[in-house]
Amino acid sequence: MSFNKVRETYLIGGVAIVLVAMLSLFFVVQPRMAKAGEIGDQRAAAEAVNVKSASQIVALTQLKNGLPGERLIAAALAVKFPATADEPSLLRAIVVAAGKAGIAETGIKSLGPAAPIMGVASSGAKLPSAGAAPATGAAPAKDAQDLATMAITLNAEGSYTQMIALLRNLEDLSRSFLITQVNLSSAEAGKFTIALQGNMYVHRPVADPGTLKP
Amino acid sequence: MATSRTADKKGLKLSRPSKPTVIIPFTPTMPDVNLLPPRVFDAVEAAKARHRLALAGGALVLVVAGVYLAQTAQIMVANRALDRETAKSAALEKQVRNLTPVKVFYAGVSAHKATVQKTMAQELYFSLVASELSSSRAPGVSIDTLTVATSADPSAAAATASTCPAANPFAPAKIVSCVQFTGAAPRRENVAAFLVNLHKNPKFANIYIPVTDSGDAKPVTFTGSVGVTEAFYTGRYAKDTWLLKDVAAK
Repeated sequence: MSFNKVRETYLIGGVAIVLVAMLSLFFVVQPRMAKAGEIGDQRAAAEAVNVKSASQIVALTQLKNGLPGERLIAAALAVKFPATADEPSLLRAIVVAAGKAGIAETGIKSLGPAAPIMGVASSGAKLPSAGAAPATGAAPAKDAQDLATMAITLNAEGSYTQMIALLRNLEDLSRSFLITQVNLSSAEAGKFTIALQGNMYVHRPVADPGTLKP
Repeated sequence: MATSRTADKKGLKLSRPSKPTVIIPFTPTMPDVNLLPPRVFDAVEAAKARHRLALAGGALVLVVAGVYLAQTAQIMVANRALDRETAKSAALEKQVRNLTPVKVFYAGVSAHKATVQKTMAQELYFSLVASELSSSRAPGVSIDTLTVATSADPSAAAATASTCPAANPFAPAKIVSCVQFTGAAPRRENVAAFLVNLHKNPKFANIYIPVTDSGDAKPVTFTGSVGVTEAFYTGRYAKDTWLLKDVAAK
């Protein structure tokens, strides 16, 4: 028997089998493995996103549960820095403060709440105009967008004690009033005139989530 | 006999004495003669080899097909799981989107609060300044004018404060505002007592009266200034509890 022919057969057959095995590995098994791996990665990524989203939902739900308390804070802040000039309340509050100090309304010689200007009061602050970007004052940009300043001037007459009481009442207004200058002068004994300057502020309202569409 | 032959073949040494030799009777058979040529045997061997290789190939195909099917099943399962996760993602994202305004609201309220705190940080109790200045007066001393100013901007406040001269030029106190005042007193001794009283108040600093004049109507008039220290800052907006009262009132 010729050993070489059998050997040739085994050799050719073996090579063919190895070739087929390798081709199968490279063109059938590996691409499928890669695809399975890719899908697995996508799934893992989706799972990670879902875990993150779930934790976000937990945190946001906690915030949502605390909304009543946060609304109270927002309401209290809106009293300090209201959303509009709210002149009626301002005039009434100052007249009441003077009255509590024993100063009649006729004792308030002048009361001038200026129109709100964008930003914190400074030489760069300007009145807002329709369609124009708000001017930025000394305050940072975000503040300048959300905050406007109303300059308040007040002149009143009364005794020194009444002037001090008036100052105290103005400092204790429910609306924040930053007094920046006080001039007290006495034209005649026991009778003083106060010239007061200060700022009240208007803040852009914060949108309540309850008013937004789902 | 057969046992004996087998044992001999296997080389076993039996202890028993060997049996007498048995003569196998001759049986006539056909002679075993192989007349096939070697190429036939080669062909047979080659056919066997091909058969084995075909079996191996078939087994390989089966293995590959099995792996393919297993992978297909794995991919199907993974695809289903991915679909489930994707669907879950969409639902969760929708929930997050719906809840986002809540987060925006909290951020807005927080920013509002910070703005109020920052804006009102320089707030002074002017009523306290005026009342403590008045209560420091010595007998017979009157205050006729008083001017005090501050600014929402801390650097501007420092500039205002720098206009208040210090009695001790070597160690001027840190002040946040300067009160300018004029007044009258029967004698300069009363003005001196007023100065002593002002110095006793730790909330005031850089106290100085540079001018005292004598006239007919009021024996002594004076002009002076007193520095207002940080003790007059209200500081109420910096406290954690500054909004509690207002919130409780709601």
